[in-house]
Amino acid sequence: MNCRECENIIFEANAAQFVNNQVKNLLEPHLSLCSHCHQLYTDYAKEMEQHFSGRRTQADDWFYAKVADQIKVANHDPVNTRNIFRLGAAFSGAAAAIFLGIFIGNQLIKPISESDYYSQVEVSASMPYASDNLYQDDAFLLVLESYLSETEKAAE
Amino acid sequence: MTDTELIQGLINGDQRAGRFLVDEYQIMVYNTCYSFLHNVHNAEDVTQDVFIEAIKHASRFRAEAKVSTWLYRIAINRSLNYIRNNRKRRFWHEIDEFLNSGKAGHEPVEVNDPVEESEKKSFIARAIDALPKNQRIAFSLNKLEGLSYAQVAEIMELKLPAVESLLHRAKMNLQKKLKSYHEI
Repeated sequence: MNCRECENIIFEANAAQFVNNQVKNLLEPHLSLCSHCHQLYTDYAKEMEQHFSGRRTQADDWFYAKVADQIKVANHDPVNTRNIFRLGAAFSGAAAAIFLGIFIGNQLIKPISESDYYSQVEVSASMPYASDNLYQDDAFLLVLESYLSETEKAAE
Repeated sequence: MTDTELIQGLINGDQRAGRFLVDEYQIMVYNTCYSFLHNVHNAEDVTQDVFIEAIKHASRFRAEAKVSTWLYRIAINRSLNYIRNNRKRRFWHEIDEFLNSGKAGHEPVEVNDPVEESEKKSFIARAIDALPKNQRIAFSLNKLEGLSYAQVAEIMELKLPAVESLLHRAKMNLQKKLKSYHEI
């Protein structure tokens, strides 16, 4: 038996087959040689056995009385409060989503609203061209200007 | 008591029919709930809910299935709903914890939660719980409950090859998860 076959047997088996050692007996020769499969078997079998131990094999004689009591209580409480809370949470969630949507939409639409558009146009109209300020205070420009005017004068 | 007599008795409000239903099927329903919830108290609560639903809504029973098949379906749905509702409850509880963490006099609320308990669970149990819904149902019924493929197919209202495929994929998923766990 190789590891693949061993793994297949482990995953194909049901909980009862682990509990009654059916799987262990089948895999014993391989498990004694392969530490990887041994570890997998140990972990998996432990889980299956643990699950099996929580199962019930004997009926609770009082169980019907408990169910009948619950039915009586349910019949006396026609309005199911659990449902109200469940719906309440759903409605609050929907309302919160709508408000959030309105808020986000408002934030996105705001920059192109009418008043903002005109105020932006005004600002851009009153703003001087950036090129007007170019080299305005540059010492190099002053030297260049004086050189050119002197050259012009000389030419005249 | 035959299935037809049982259902007719439940519809007519006959207490003997109710007692017969609970006595006859409580172990089966409890074990099914337990295989999903892994918790004795939660499984008992959900088992009660299953019988309450079955007794109150017996008229919804379709005669083409067996009573046991019908109860399996209710038990599975109730168990999965319980897990889902507890997840939601846990989410709100965590938000509440976060918001009230700085406040004096805030008492921690106990959440009876299979998801919280999953932290204490073994890696394999968590890997089973993390399977997609249909794979998990098929796996629980076949591997934990020991039902045959045909019985699983009847409960899940699927064809036999579909159940085989679900179980094969569940096996592959588990193998993959366990392999990566053991390699770490």
